[in-house]
Amino acid sequence: MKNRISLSITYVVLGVLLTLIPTVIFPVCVSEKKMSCFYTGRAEVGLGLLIIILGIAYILFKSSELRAGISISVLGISALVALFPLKITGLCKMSDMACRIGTLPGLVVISIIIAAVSLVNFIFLILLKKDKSNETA
Amino acid sequence: MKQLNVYKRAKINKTQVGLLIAPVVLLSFVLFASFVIDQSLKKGVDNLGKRIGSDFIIVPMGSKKDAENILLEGSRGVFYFDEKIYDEIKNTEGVKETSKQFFLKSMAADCCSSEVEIIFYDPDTDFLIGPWISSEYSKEQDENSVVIGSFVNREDNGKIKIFGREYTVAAQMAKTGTSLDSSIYFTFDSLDTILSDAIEKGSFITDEQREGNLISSVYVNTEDNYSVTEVLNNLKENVHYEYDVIYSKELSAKMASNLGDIYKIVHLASISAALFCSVILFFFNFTIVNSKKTEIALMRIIGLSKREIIGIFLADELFTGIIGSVMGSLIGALFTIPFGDYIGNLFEMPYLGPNILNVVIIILLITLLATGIGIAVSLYPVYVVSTLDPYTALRREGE
Repeated sequence: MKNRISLSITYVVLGVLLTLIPTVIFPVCVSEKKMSCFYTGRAEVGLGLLIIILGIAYILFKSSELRAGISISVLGISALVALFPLKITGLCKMSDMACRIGTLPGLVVISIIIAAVSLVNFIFLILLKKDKSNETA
Repeated sequence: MKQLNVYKRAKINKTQVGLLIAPVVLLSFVLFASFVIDQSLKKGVDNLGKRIGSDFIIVPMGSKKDAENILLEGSRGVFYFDEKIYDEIKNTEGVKETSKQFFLKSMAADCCSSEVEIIFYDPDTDFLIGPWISSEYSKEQDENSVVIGSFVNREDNGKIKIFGREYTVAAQMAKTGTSLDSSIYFTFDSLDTILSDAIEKGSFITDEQREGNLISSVYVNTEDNYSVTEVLNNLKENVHYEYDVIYSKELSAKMASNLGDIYKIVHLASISAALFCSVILFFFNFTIVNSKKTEIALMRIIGLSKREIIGIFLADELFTGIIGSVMGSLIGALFTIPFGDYIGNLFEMPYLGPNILNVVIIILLITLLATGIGIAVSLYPVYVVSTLDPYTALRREGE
């Protein structure tokens, strides 16, 4: 139960942070012409919402296999969080633009944190399951 | 066997490990962040002096502030005087070398989603741009090629598009931590083409810019046996145009004085964090060691010396210290290194972050320092409890 509550809250908080990074904390460049960073910002908000939904779902499932599955999908999303600005949609070309000096490092750091949390939790749940199956055997 | 059980009980548990690690993590995080910010700002300002690369710069009368802002704050500006001033400066007694530049403020060019400073220079007399080139793509720079600052990105085909025309990137400069990182450098041969392209693309070009035969600044280095003051006096007699002088050293000194307040905040933060964490660690250590009185008394009874008992607790302190300080430093690295440019922008100062080797050295230093602080504040509580008379300790526990 402890794991369900704490990880669910953590995923929701990380998801909220992810939606806030390109919009409030380190907003992407503001311009009349929609630049690449605008679309990256939109995509990141979408990924953030997805993590929030998975975070809420996490508390609903008792099964450690299902929760490990959720953690793996969050891990995959964390890779996308970094890949959108770095490869998929990209950012403005000049390295001194707001999206490059603020949004990009913000997204990379949060993607590392999300990846670390979900990976550690995944390993923890797998080990927990192994322990339980050893006990029953 | 009994000895082992007592020993195990004397070891700190998971919660206690957490209590001891948390202040060390906070301490090393603050120490790492403040050390990196402090050093990077210092390096940025030192680099600015080197980057200007000349003893002084001659700019048109009334443009000193604008020129300083271009160098320091990254603002874009244009100012010109007649090109003839260049020959007058060059032929002045005591002048060793001169290099002229022409600044053109670009409206968002195709290459860049923001304004860039387009600078024209003469490669034959240049002593400013050449030394800063970090990646050379072609040997010679002609009218169809450019040198770009470290913040300007090339297209995948190695070219850059400005005002609708593609130019080959001949070289890219190293990061200077100043606004010059987002500048593009053309030779004077490209000036007419760029101006006509800019007009065609609807960029605002002033009548003054259209006239030609203008330059924005002249960088001057003096002969070794002449002082800057002597050369400036000679210039007063020789040059018939009005001008302002920017002294490179003065510019660096101005920046360094601005750093004073930032340093104060950074140092105050690290000293406060060190004090706060030391007090918390001392308190946690005292509580934890106090809770182990029975185990300590038993260990004394079964024959362990005071030194051995102190050793057991110090080994725990060493373990939590190393783990905590490495964790804190890594978190510090995660939050300061990727945000280097952002921090520089925030302080409006040149900022040059550390390289990987420096980061490793800083982590090692902080680990030593934070672990040292952890051990130092735990010595007193461990010593006090280990010197307790076993009988008194056990009786008190019983009560």
